[in-house]
Amino acid sequence: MDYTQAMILALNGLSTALKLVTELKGQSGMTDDQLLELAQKNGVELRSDIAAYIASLK
Amino acid sequence: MRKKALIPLLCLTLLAVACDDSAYRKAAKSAATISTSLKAAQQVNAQLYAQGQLTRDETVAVAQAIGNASAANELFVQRLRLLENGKPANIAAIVHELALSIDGLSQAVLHIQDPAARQKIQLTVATIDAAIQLIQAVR
Repeated sequence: MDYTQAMILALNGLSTALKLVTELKGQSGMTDDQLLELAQKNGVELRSDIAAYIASLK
Repeated sequence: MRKKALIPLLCLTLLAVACDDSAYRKAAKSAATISTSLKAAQQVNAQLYAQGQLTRDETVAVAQAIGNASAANELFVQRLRLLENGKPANIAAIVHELALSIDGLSQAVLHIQDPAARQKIQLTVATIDAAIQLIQAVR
């Protein structure tokens, strides 16, 4: 792996981490019910995304 | 190296936003964190496959493991709703299955051949591990 590739991967990792940190901070102002609703909503969306993704690979 | 430094950053952020909370709130925050992190993990999984850093078998295995972890998290949320401000001991009892499904995801990630790709997905899985540890630490 050359320096440019290593830099791209490091920046991609940083961007993923920062996005997650921002989302987690945003969640700290939610009520317990809102947190649980968010978890369920994310779960439903993710299930559908994964089914579509696996189907697209066949 | 830089990515290794990001893992403690993510875990510390998670602990910082969850300290001084009740057991129920910690569990609710952890469930939301896990769901957000699983979505991020799937985005990274698809991205790495598109970039040719994962084989088809690897990306399918990781996607299925993410799906299993997500199903376990949804079940955790359903059980948590039934407890409603339940005792910490009750919360700890329902975390077990969730922890097992996350172990399955970690195992799937360990089978990724490309070290850079493996490290990138491990970054998001580390947040999930930290969230599980947070609920398991509830007393």
